[in-house]
Amino acid sequence: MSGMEALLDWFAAGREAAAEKERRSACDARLRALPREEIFLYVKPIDNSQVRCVARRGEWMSGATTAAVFIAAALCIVAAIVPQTTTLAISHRIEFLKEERAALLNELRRLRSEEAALRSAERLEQFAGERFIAPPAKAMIYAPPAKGTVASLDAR
Amino acid sequence: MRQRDQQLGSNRRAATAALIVAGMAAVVLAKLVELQVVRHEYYAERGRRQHLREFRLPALRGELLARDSYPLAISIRTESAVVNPQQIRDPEFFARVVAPALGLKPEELSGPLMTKKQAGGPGASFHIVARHLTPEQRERLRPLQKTFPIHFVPDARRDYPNGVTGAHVVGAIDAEGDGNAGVEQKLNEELKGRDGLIQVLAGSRQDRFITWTKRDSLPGVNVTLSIDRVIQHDAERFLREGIEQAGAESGTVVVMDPRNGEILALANYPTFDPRREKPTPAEAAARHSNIAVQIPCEPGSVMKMITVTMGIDTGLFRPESLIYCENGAFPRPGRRAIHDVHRYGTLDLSQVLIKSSNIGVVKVSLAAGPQRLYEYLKKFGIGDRTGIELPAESRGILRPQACRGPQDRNCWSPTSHEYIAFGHEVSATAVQLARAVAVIANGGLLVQPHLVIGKSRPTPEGREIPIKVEQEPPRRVLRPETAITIRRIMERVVLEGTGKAAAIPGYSSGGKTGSAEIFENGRWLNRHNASFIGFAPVANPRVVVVVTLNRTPKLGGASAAPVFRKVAETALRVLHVPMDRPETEPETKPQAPQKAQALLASAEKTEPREEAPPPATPALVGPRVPDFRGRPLVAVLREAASLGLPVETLGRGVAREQSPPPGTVLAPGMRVQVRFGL
Repeated sequence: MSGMEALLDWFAAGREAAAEKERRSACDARLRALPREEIFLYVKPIDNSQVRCVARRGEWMSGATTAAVFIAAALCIVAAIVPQTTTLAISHRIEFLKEERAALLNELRRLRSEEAALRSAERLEQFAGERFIAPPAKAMIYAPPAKGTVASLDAR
Repeated sequence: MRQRDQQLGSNRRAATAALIVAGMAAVVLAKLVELQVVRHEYYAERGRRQHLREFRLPALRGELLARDSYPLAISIRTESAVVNPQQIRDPEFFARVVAPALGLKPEELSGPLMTKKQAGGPGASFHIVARHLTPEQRERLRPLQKTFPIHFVPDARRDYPNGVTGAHVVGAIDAEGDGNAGVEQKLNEELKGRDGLIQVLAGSRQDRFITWTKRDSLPGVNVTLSIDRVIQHDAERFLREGIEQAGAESGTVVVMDPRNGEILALANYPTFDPRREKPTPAEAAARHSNIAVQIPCEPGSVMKMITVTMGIDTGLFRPESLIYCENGAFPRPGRRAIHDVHRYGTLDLSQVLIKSSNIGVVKVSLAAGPQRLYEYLKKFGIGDRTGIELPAESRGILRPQACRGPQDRNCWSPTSHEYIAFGHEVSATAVQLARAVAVIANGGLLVQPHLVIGKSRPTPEGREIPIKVEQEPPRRVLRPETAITIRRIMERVVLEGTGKAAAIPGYSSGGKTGSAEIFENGRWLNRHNASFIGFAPVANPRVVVVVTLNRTPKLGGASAAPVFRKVAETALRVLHVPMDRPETEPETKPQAPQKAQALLASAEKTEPREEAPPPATPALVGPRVPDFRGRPLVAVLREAASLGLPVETLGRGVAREQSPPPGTVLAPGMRVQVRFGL
């Protein structure tokens, strides 16, 4: 019960203090009209000479800690994400290069096929006609290779 | 009382209702047990199949390369456009929109789609709209994918850059990518590699969520063949010309390196175009009949080469041994006489082969006996598969010599060895004949004819891992002296015998003609299986060529020998084999005596003029003759072969004399004569 009484006393004290404060500032209060307007402003002078900035050390530390935590968390997140992102980007790049290599190899195969078709005996014969295999000159004397067989396949 | 009855009725109804509910619950429970316990695996599998789908990632088929590393068959990755006909509401509208993008007529597309859509069943939910899309076609189809359920699937196109050339060697593949002829069929498992697998996690509407590769595809093995593209092309061309000139129905040419059994060319006629996915019936028949390895025929007189070889190798005969050839008719007791085309009296053994006397070789066979003849046929590989890398190879026909009992009909009769001696009652393929000739050409070694000279497996990094190719090592079946003796006799067949049309300008050659008349439906057809087997040059043979023309009215010397000459000449030139003969024989036309004297007189009367400088002659850069004296025959032959020197040997034992002397530069056409003595 005593708590309740104390609370009520505290309320009553507060009310009294407020009334006192109101009473003290009532003399200063003036009602002024804006020129050519039907608007009235309640004007009261304020004394700021007693106002002081109070910085609590605990609050400052708390703010700094919070900021540090946020920065650390951000750094951790960045540290965790960057390698994965880089890996992902490199993977994509590798996949792209693999595809490109496969496409180039495929193109190489196509070109090899085309070259073989252009250099096929049938095709060459069409262009060369009678001179497809030129007969050797008469009385030609062949020198066999210095070593091994006369005309080994390796010599071709 | 009544209230009690009502109470009881109410309880009964409640019990009944409870029973029904319990029963239903039991049914539901039983079904749940069935679904979750009894058939759990089944439904789990169905669920997996519905959500987890697998797609085949086709492996790239291996390449087939010629010996010069140019591709004979090569696969190129492409894409094909496919649709599910059941997802297409209006096939005609689809066809009208899509066909122009592919350069097709709308009816070409709508017809099959309508059929599949109406038919339903397996296979009706897949239709290939276009295979092997070009980049332009793909770009035109891409915007249409928003409207129609068109999908692009990976595919591969098989290119044959040499076209028809080497068709029977290379073969072809079917629509499913499996080989159906040639090396493509024989080495299909190695060539096709292993398909990869792609797994897709899909929703109930088959929307794909995640795709990953379960197994990478393993590309097929690249195979290098011994085929020379130019020799192959010319062999096909000359075969076709020869068949047209001889009026034959079909034919084959085999060109082989006798030293190692590498097939340089293998041509058949009729042939086919492997590039056609839908061949004509005639082409389809040709595709599946590789005459050179699948269809044996009676060799006829070419078999005399083996009989005469047997006579010499066994020591029963010498080249100069005399044989009485019965003046063209050799009466046989109780059956028809054996005849020769010409009436020959006494011939020596070499003349028996040169003039192709049936009676002469029959007497050789009679002297040796059937057992020996059978052994020598086997030594030459007759009746055995060669093992060449081509499908459905025939072993030919050579019945066992020994009978298993009196009822055994699949063996030699008492007279078989007489007929087999000149090539009847026996059949051999062209490749078997080439192997048999190679025994003579390489000095008595039986080699394995083969097409594959290299294999490698491509890696994803673009490298190639070589795979070892193992071939059966050559096996000695004949003494080298015998082989060289037969070579010299066969050279005379070309120079003075039945094979004159096989003489190659600039090169020495040896061979044997063969003409087996065809006996069909109980009568002789006056058509022949004409053949020519031969080698060139004689001193150090580099090529063995077998030509067979089927059902020709001409004989082998007139029809097959010219084809041999053309093919062998091309092969020797392509292989850069030095000439060992003058390309054109000098014309020695004798002058009339009076005219010659007048010319001589006029020459004396004319004043001596300032001699013009002699025409520049090429410096002699040929091989120098080594000193063979004191060496045995085998050593002499080996060194001569390695230097490419034509050698003529006389006698046996150790080399005593030689002509020309050591150190002489051997001009073309000259030979080294070495005399041996004990």
